[in-house]
Amino acid sequence: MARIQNIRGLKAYIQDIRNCSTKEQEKERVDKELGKIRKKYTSDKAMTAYDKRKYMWKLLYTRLLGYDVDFGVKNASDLVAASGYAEKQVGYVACSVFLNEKDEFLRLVINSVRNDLISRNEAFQCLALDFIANVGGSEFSQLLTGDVMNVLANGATRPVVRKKAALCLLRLLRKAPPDAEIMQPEVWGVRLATMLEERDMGVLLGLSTLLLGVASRSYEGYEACVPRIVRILERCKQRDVSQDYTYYGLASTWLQVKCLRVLQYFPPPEEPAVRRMLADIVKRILGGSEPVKNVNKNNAVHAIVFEAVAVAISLEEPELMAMGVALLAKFLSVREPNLKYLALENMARLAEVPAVVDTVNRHQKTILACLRDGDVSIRRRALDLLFIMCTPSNSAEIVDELLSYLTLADYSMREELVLKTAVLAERFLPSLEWYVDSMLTLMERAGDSAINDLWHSVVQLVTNNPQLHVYAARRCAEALRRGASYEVFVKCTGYILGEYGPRLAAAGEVPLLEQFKLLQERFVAASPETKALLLTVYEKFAVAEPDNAALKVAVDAVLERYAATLDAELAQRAVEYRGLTTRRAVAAAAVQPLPKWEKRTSLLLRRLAEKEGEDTDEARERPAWMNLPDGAEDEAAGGASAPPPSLGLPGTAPGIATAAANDAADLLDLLDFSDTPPKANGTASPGAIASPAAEPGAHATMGVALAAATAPATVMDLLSSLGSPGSAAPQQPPAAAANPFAPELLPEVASPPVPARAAPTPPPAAVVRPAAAPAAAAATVMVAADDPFGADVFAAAAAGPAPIQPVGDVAAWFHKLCTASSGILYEDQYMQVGIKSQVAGPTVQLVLFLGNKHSEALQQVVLVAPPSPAFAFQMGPVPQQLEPKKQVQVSLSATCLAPFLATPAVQLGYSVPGTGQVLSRSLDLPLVATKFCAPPPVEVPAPVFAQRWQQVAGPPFKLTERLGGAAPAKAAAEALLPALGFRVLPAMDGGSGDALSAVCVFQCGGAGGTQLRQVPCMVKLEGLGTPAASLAVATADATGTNAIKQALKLVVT
Amino acid sequence: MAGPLAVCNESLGALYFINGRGDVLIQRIYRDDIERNLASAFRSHVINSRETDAASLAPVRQFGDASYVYLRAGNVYLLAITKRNSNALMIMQFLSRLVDLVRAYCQGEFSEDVVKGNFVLIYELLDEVLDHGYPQPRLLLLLLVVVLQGWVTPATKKKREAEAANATLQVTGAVGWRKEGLRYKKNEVFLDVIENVDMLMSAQAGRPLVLRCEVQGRLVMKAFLSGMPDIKLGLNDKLEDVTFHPCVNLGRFNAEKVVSFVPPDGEFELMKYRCTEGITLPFKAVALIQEHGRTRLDVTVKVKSTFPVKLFATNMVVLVPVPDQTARASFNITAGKAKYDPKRHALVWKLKKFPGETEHTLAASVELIATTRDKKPWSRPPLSMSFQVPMHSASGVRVQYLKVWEKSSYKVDKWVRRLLRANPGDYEVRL
Repeated sequence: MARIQNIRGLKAYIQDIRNCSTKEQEKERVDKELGKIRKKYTSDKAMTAYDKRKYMWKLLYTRLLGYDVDFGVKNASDLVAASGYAEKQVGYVACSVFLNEKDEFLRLVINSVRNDLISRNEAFQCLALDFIANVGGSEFSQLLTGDVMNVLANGATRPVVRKKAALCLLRLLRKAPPDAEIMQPEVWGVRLATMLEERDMGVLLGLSTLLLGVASRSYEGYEACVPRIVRILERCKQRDVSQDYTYYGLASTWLQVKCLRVLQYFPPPEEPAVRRMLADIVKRILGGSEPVKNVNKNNAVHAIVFEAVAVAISLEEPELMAMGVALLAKFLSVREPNLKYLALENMARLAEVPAVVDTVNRHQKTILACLRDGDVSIRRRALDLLFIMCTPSNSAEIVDELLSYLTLADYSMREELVLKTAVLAERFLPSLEWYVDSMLTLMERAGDSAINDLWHSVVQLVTNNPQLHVYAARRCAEALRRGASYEVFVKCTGYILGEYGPRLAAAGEVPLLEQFKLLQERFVAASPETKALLLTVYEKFAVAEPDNAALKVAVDAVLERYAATLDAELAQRAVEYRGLTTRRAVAAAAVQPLPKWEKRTSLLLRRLAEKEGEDTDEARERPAWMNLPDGAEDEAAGGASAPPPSLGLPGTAPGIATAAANDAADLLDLLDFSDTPPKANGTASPGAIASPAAEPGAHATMGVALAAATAPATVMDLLSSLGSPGSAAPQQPPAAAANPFAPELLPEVASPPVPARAAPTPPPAAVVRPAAAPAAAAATVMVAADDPFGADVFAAAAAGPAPIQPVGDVAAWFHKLCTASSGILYEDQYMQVGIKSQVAGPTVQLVLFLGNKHSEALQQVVLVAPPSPAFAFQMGPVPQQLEPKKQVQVSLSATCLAPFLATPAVQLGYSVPGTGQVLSRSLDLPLVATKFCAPPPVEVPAPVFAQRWQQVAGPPFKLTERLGGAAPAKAAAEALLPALGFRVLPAMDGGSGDALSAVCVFQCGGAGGTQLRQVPCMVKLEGLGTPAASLAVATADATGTNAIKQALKLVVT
Repeated sequence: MAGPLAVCNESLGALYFINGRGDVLIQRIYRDDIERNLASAFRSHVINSRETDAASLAPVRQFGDASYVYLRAGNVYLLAITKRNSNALMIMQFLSRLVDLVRAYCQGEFSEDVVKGNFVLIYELLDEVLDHGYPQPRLLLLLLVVVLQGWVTPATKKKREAEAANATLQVTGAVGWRKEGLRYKKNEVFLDVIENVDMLMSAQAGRPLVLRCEVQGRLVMKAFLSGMPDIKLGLNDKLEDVTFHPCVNLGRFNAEKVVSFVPPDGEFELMKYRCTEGITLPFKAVALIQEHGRTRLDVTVKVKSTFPVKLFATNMVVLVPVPDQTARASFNITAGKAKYDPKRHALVWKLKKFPGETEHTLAASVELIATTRDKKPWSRPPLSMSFQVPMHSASGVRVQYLKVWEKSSYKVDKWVRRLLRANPGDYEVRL
């Protein structure tokens, strides 16, 4: 830099520009200077080296001011090739500013850079290495990696050069295409290990950074480095370093942190001596770090401590972890917010390890105190930690504490707090009564931050446990008396009182009239949705005590008023209910208690998973290596700078797509022999809806029709008001199953929107359909094609003559197809549909064979794939008409975009010309999650599997399900799993007879604007062949876990 | 609600003097709805903006709910901000009058340094011309009495105070713009007819087409006359779009086409006119540019004067734009001097004197430097000329007579001058 200062012209130029008072003056000055430089550059006279430098510095300065100096690029690259250091220096600096890695012009300098790199002049080597690291793109990476490696490996070069070379190599690695094998582990594992014997701390720091970058992709082959790294740590601890690398009395803190971090990527060292040494080091770090006055020193010490805690976790030594917990707890009581935050964060990581949860719990009080910290980010972290450290033993206490905190919590974190409290209450419920109490308190206090899922969970739980009914109703009445009137709270109490209030009244505790009054107080201020629910509740009250005159008067008054309200929905309910009250017998038949709920995954957990998905940016604030495994694969594939250790399966990212594609063909062959005996299965049986009780002819009086129409309304409105369409959809089946003839009666009762409420159908279509139904069957098919959602219901209503029934068991075929690649999908008296599938990564090529068995041509053939969020469909042409005794092929390619729960379906429809019969039904495609699984490209050692398994937090990422007696024997499962794309781990679980572990990669995306994703997945089957068999699935994706679990359960049983 | 009868609000919310760097020199805030930081939006969106499209150069801009009206005088921006539905033209006019006012006090100068050197004066003036943001019409004559400058002796002060006391009387009198009892030893009157020509010609070779042509003329009078003189001015009929100084008797102009008035003392702008037809162009120019590859350019420019041979143009400058990456240029010219000016991205050809009915040519070969990246093709901005032709007029307006009457019927020396000029950027020929 000393040379720059000697350039007088440059100084004057910079001074002139700084003195300019306006932008225009500056521009004028710049234009003048650029004109002069252009003149000089085109002049025939050769410039002196001094001039060349001067003008290049001027251009550089001008460029940094934001002006365009393109014409100087060539001169800059000439300077790179110059012989003097000063010229080279400015040439390199200018090139790295003017050019970016995608610039074509970079090719011109690549040769000079290479010459400098292999020259004997260290200064030139350093310049070249800096330039490569700053600008180098993939082309540099291809051409120069070898040379950089040579510089690094050459022991004769000076440390300062090798240090740069190590960092430069890391940069080139990151820039190289992800599939390029640049550093062969077999060569570099040993070489790096030897290099780590180096004495120079600077080189060691560079090398450990390089190793960190390499190990974060795949540590395999580099295990030999671990003892060396441990020895470096040992050296640091003994302060065996030169004075230059001592920072506040600590030996090279950065190196220590890097080393500790590297160690986290490796499995715990196997050699006992090394392990002992490492444990000893960690112990010393965790043991001796008293806070001192100096902030800088404290920061340095704490950085090392936090890394040491992470190493302790990966070492899985309970004693060390306990020390870590103790130390972190000490930090929690410090006033310094940064330290507190980091301590909480690390504590949360520790709390995930089951062995030390209890130790963490000892500090529960300190952590609870953090909830009242002044800093909101600390409060958040404390909440996270509490959520993680909750165990059955302390759950009640923590939940109570959170409930009392809820009243104080600020609004920014309230929603999260409410959700997490609810999840905790649900996860570790000590008793059902306690759960109901806590949730009611929660809803009372949460106010508007409560979400609908809260009360849905309560209602589900209460409904499914008869012993709770009266208790819940009592508590609801008490809570109402306390006076809260938030929306969600009112819905919950209203629902429960509607169902079980009459029983409470019958027990002589709270008369129905009082219950009615309690609810009515809140009625006026409620939203229309809640009002609708409450109207139904009132109707239930009225039906339950038909002789209670006072109640009847009160209810009638409300119904009377709302019969004329502007809201069509409310008005309709009021009118219908008023009609019902006049016909007691009908009303009693129509208003029934709700059936029990199907066992489903927790709504709250699902919502929590969604929320955590939203909060990814927060997760990104943490260092990448600390992130949970979700999204790890994506980042690795994108070549992100520091990819975190991916869950399990090292090296899943690159190359797996091709491998999977190759495997796909074999997989299909394998699947053929792995048929399990077909078995009727309740889940996703499409027959349930399409086999309606056949009483279309039954002439109902107006009253009965009304009653029947209202009965589903009661069930369905309670259901439909359960919130968003997304959550309402899965709740459909029980409703439809309970009232199979609801759709039948629909055309006669002119109350169109009742079923439409749950399945969003455009009202005009609903009006048209019943009218046109009996005659124009063809029209219905067309409608069905337009509107796949409403099709089932209305086609059933329309098929006046005789409904077409499938011959054979559709569910059994489906089940068989889940493992087989071809077979029958559907068959009835007129048509047979066969299917053949071929899997290639996330895409399945399906061929549907539509065969006409009839003697006449089938008309109006329709086959459509309704859009699905998780799939991208591409369908070939479908003929309008199917000739007799002919078969056509329809190709359909389905690409999985995201993990999915609902099996995709196609809509099939046709009409038989002679008989006027019409078919319109949806056929579930045999695309279950396991179809998209492929074995990982590398072996997963058993200890790695165990470790990763541990790392995955509980639900929703890790789910367990009992299989019961339906589970197959171990041998059968062992044969079946590879056929499904799983790799079975041989020596797992101590070889016990009834357990099995397997891994696979779930692939999705790559079409429709989504990125190809590969979700590693781990599966454990335990207790095979016994009645206690269970299936556990763990992935980094909540939906994926659930999908694979369901699919496996379906296939295995 | 602003209905059809909504009153157009005549006020400014705030007034700023801002230098070219965006620093606020003077700030006056008249209304509560103006936040203190509004001027920073002006700095970032106007002064430091790199946009050059028409919308970003407009003198009235809207940022947020505030309207910004500004003009630039020298290196100072005058900015008025309002949040009401104010009359933008009125504000514009006010700002330009304000500049004139400061100029009148500061020897015709207006710049950042002038503003910085006269803070007190400008604040005083602002107090006079703006009441709560409402502009107050003020005659300079009266202001000079009220707002004093420099060191004032007690005697002068007393005299001025007396004048100020009489001011009302005078302003409301018949001839509010002229003081009584003026006396000059030598009675003189000067009349300058100054025309600015504004022209754009198309590039069609052989038959150039005039796309836009306009002459803006001003009659500026300097009167040093005793007593209450009455002046009559006769012009030929070629006038359109005329504006007069308030002293002119409009009734007589409409009836007799005679400009008759009692002049204010000193210099004033008697009238302005604008003319779009029957204009004789003083110069014809033809330019030819040939690009040879990416690094060479040949330019030929021919300029011919059309005015009478005994007249001549002075200070003629022809700007021939060239691409940004021009490195050097060599010239072959018949008269004057030429060079490449990187600041203006143009070849500058200067001719001190250009006689009538002559033709001069410039031939230049331009060398460009190669760039690494392909750029947009050069936009070929138009060639532009600036010049002054004394004693010539492009519109044909002529002063036929100028008569002065006074009770004492003294002898008056009368001088009439004419000047035709084009400012840089006004007289353009497309390439």
